[in-house]
Amino acid sequence: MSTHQYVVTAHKPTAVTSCVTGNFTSPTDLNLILAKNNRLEFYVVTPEGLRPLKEICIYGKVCVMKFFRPKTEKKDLLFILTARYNTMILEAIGEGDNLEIKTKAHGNVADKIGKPSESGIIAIIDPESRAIGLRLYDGLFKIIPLENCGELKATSIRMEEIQIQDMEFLHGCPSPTVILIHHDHNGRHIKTHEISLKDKEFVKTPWKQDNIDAEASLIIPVPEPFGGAIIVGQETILYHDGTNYVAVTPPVIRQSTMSCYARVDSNGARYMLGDMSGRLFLLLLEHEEKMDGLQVVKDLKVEVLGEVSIPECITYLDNGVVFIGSRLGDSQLIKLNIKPDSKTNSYISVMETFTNLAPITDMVVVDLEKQGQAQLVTCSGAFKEGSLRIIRNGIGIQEHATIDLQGIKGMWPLKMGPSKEFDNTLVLSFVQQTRVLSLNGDEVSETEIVGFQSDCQSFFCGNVNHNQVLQITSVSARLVSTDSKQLIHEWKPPTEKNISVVACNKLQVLCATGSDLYYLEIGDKIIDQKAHAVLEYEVACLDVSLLDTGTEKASIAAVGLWTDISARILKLPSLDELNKEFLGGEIIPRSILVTCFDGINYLLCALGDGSMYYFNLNKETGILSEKKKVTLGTQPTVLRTFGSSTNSTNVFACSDRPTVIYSSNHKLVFSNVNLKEVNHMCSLHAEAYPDSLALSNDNTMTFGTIDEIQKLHIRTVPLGESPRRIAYQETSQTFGVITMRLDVMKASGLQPARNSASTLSTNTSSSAATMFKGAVTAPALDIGQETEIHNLLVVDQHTFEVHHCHQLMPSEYALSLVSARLGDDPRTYYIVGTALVNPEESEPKAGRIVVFLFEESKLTQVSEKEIKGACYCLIEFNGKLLAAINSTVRLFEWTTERELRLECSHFNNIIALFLKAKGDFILVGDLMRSMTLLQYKTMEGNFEEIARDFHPNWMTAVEIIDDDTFLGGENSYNLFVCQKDR
Amino acid sequence: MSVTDFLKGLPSYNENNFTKYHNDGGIRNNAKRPSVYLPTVDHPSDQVIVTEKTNILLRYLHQQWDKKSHHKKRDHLNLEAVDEAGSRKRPRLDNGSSGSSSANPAAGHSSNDARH
Repeated sequence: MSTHQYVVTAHKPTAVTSCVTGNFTSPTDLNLILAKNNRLEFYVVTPEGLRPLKEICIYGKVCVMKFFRPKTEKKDLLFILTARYNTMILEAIGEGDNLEIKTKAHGNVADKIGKPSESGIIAIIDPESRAIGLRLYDGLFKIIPLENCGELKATSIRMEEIQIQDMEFLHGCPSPTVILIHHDHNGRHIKTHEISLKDKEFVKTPWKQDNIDAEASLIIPVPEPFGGAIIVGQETILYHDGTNYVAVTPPVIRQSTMSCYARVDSNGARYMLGDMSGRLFLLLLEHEEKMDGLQVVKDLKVEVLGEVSIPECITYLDNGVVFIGSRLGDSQLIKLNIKPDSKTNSYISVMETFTNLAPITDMVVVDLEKQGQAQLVTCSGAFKEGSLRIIRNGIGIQEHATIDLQGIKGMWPLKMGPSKEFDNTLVLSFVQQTRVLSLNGDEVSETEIVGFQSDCQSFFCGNVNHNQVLQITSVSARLVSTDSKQLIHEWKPPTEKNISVVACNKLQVLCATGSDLYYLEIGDKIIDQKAHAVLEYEVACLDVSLLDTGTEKASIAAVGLWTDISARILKLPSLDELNKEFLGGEIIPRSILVTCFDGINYLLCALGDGSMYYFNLNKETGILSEKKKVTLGTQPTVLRTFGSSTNSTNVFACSDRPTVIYSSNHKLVFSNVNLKEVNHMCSLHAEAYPDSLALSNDNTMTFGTIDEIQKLHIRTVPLGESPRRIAYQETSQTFGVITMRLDVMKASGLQPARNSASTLSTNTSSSAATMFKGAVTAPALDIGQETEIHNLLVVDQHTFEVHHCHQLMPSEYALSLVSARLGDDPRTYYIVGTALVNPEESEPKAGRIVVFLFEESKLTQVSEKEIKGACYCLIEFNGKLLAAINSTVRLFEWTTERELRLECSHFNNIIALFLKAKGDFILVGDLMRSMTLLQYKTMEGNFEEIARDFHPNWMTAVEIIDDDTFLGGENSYNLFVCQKDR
Repeated sequence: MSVTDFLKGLPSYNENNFTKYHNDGGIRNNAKRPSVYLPTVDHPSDQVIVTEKTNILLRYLHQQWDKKSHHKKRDHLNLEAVDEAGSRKRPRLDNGSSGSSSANPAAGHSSNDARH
């Protein structure tokens, strides 16, 4: 029997590798096109911002994407080259929903021979659209003349220059002319070649310039009237037009390397440059007019505009708005401002960010709330864009309208007048004020209900029986006619005390004034007080929801009390106590709710710290069982029921981490909502907003609908440095994270290049180099040089605050991390595997395995073991520690003296990079020799190699699917499955 | 001149673009994604991009030969007849112009030769 595996993409690629702007979908549409690995996203620029049009999947990795416009075309065509040398020219036809993408031309341009260039694929298009130039292999330049008909024949031209850094077509040349930066043993040089399209040859070299900036890497061709090109180097920026040149050496560009640019003006006067540290620059060509009317470049000006995500590509959109495409961090839509921000001195304001998970270097799957809803925590991004991303399934709210309103304290929908089906009124409560909004179509206007008291805060408003609405304020309960809107009846508490907490359904009302509880019933034009009880302590929260949809009257009510922190079930109408449950702790219950999910009755009780208890409830006896606790947020939580179109009950928990609670297979599911904060909510079924929710936070009110299905939601915890490994430790409720930051040598010694998670931690410790005999002395650094500093961070699982940062030795690279319990030792340790890197050695010859204990908010080193190589991977293996060290796999025991002792080793690898274990089986992923399966022989105390994949796969990840099936990932972006031969 | 002056007069394609951009009190995360394009109509492509298979050296030699023979024809029209009657080796012109793939087995060597 053969089994098959299949792969489902849970999240599409998010790193932007290329972006272009042009008129693609019509001659007037301004389009932004993003390339994300194998996907293209098409947007159109509108007054409201970027509007998504289409997403296209192609079979290949987009390497180069460029717009060009032949003279005969009114709009731009898109040229794409993939990593496997497939080329295509795409054109958009039709508009709106009928948009079709037509492949005008396509073909493969790979050669059978040729050495793929180390500096990557270069593809350039002549500004007059006469030809496409490709540099795919060293020493060869491939040219595709762009003819209107017939086949497009790509022809290779031999090129003397082998190591080419960058290449572009020059503007304003009678025949296509390329400019290139090439590298030889003397340094870097620029050279131009004029191409004869007829002979497919370089016919002459119009000009060249030897020995330019030693790190020159970027060519910017300058359009007419200036012509020529700008060469960007590490220290200099050079403009050269063949006869004249201008060079500048602005000190500000030296800190990092320019990686991408975007032209701002069509005449080529201004450019934006982005560097690898995430700074955005403006480059300006200052020009003058010569006597003969010729425009000449006089000077170059370079100014820092501010900081953005580390850019991979930049494109200017319109009216000062720029798209920053990032591979290492979130892409951004930014605006260039004429005036700098007074605080940051930046000329940039970020309009929108586009979440990017890439590059994910490690991840863990955890179930923090123990609700069976696992989430993924990833080490994402790099350098200043480094972050942890918490990815979980959640429910989305589609926003339909928002209104800026501050300080909403409560919201209720009403059906006023003749309306029977739709809500047409929304009551909003504020401190000392109640306002009424009328909903007419999608128009929202303020109105008044005469019978309402508008100069105080409402605790409840709602339609009740007999065409009446009820408003409860701190003073009284007011019954108002839906037709006349006049006050019909008013109930006031018999004492002078103010009403503090209320709960209502269509017929029954509970009002509490301190510890006095009143039970009222609503009749035709009357509010009847039916019962009064004095409770032990003041009432904190109340609920009188209906459990059965068939009935009108609830037979029980739920109360949460101050002081003794208890939840009580009272019988109605007598208010006799059926049951009480002490919740424990010191946090006051803030919201209580009885509800029925899937035929099971529950009591939910949310506390002031964002946690919530829930119980199964017997509605006859009031007995609570199966007490469970869940953390929903960190702020007081308000529980509200709402119906969804499927008619099942849902509960919305309003807090700083809004959650929807529902039942699936008789189990409660707590699903995150993609909103930052919700203080209050109510369901709303208005004509223009059917089956909607009204939600409010501190500043705004939103009308929206809720997704039926869960989607992935991503939360970002920025670190500001590169995360490398992550491990979860349940016992200490923490994550261990290995990070790398860059420190710069200053006159005063090494200093962090910028503030990040490891430098901002309050508790720190470090491994001193002198403590360890195997330590390599760190190479002396020149001032301005950067060095990598590796750290172990201990991060709180709830707040993601860094509890502790341990800095490793200079030149010590942390490569692996595991949280493990070893032997009979009851404690759980964080164990870090490192390598001591000496730049002169081809592979590390020394390293450490360091055992840390995190206890009572303190990280202490328990043990360390010197090893002869780099520890690439650590896993827990049957109470022992299994390590991949250079070419070996080694098993360590944990002795009673709390030291690691080598038990056995396996040697048959080039470099063992990855380990996974299941029972006695160990799967080893090798640098270039695919996967090996080992079995640990308990009796003999050694490893036996029982299976091996003999294909030369360069591994990037391994996993055990089951005892016979193994999953591997390799460096050509393939997943493959191996089965054990039986 | 200051940065402020440099940033003045940024190009505008449509002055209305981004004017109604709604920024709800800070940075917002983009949740909108474009719908996935599913091609339902087959558009045959107008043109095909092909890559020339002829070896660079052979192409170069043929080109040179063409030039030479062209010159000869013009300059020594009479002499050529005599030459051809002699026993000198000469290239096979019949399959030279088509750049057939039969030249491929020698490909590796000849491309190296071309570089020397």
